[in-house]
Amino acid sequence: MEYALIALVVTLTSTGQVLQKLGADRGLKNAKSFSQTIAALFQWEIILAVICLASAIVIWLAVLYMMDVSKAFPFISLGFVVVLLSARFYLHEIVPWNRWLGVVFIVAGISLLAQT
Amino acid sequence: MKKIESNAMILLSFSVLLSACAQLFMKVSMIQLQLHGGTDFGASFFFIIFENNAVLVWLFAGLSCYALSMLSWMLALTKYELSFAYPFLGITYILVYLGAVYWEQIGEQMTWQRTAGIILILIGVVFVNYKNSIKEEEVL
Repeated sequence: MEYALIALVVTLTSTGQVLQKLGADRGLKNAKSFSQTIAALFQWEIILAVICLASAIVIWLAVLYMMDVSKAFPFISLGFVVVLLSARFYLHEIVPWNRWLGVVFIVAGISLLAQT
Repeated sequence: MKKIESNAMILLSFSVLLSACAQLFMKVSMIQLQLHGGTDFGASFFFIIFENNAVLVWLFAGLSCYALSMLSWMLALTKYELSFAYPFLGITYILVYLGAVYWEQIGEQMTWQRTAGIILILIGVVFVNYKNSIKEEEVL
């Protein structure tokens, strides 16, 4: 149950992160004044990102209710693995070796954590 | 240019610190919820949350830190690429771990599996985000 919830949080946060980056690139980067910065926060990318992250956080509270935070929080790094796998097998990108090595380290770390 | 760079670095550090605080505050809030509620999150959450000040105050503190960390993260991303910024987020794992162990109200166990696991994840996050060649930039 906890792990299914963590998986859901990871999916929602990775989606939210990508949307944040898209939003930051499109609007915030070119904002020259305070009012332009505020306006840039209301683009659809940012609003969708906030919806993803807001639902993720309620689910995350349920995870924290059931689990140690020092155990649960590092599981969020699985987001990197999800993004990398989708880049390779869904977007057919070439993924350099250092990234695969990173995934091996993350998965090894997660499996140690899962035993505690 | 130098000035902008150092401002972005401050934003990045803020983001790391605030996101660690957010996790710890939310955990304290959930510990309070457990103390005052039952064994079920759903039932506890909706009935107890607005009746207990400790739950609500820590939750508010946690969510505020989370929102501010997200804002400073986004502003930092306008200056840095993800490949540079992400490894800094790895520091959050260490801060959350130390906070959860040494903050008495949370009082989680420090075990070698957990320490080793977090170190491995940290190394992994750096490797995943490391840009290793010009070739790769051309591909991307």
